Amino acid sequence: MEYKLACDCGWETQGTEDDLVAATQEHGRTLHNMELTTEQAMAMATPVEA
Amino acid sequence: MSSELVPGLPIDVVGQVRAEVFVVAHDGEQALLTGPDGPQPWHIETAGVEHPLDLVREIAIGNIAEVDLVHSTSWRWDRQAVVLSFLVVIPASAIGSMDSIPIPRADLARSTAQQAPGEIAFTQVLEHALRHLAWLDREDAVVNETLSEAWHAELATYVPAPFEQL
Repeated sequence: MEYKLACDCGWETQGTEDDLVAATQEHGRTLHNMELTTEQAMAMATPVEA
Repeated sequence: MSSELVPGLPIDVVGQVRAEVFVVAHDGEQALLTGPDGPQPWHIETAGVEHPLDLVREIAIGNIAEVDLVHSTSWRWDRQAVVLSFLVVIPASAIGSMDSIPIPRADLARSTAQQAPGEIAFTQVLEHALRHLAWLDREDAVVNETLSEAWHAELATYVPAPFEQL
């Protein structure tokens, strides 16, 4: 299953749970100085309709 | 001129002090707003263990590489946090693939005699930031020597203003 996530800054990502979490954690760390858990990232994600 | 309000912080940005960064450059013809997030305020979480200016400088350099000047310009209370605004001046050559727009002008957000403004657009924060930079350009030798002739000419069109609460 794929998920998508949009940060309020306009950045977006889509992918599997692992890919989405990794991309979101990298975005949070490098651009917003935030350390996100998997749970925090997935709480902002929504499933992509097939 | 945009009347868009300061956009919301990323949903999980938390903390009592937050940094709001405006990345600006001058290409010789016009002053530009840019940034890794595009031409908008760039929000950075502070952990409270590092000076916010040091943090902003390190993250700016990490994302943009070339940075000429970093300066705090104002503060305000927003969403249960103190928001510190910063200008990061970069050379035009460092814009690269980042989206940019000409810096919009705006009237300043005005307080009442005893209360802060109820709503503040990001263009108003940026207008004040550049007025503060104009003041520094006249008062601070380091800032004056760091900025280009194009910036000196640009800032001459701004009313110089010291750091203040918005």
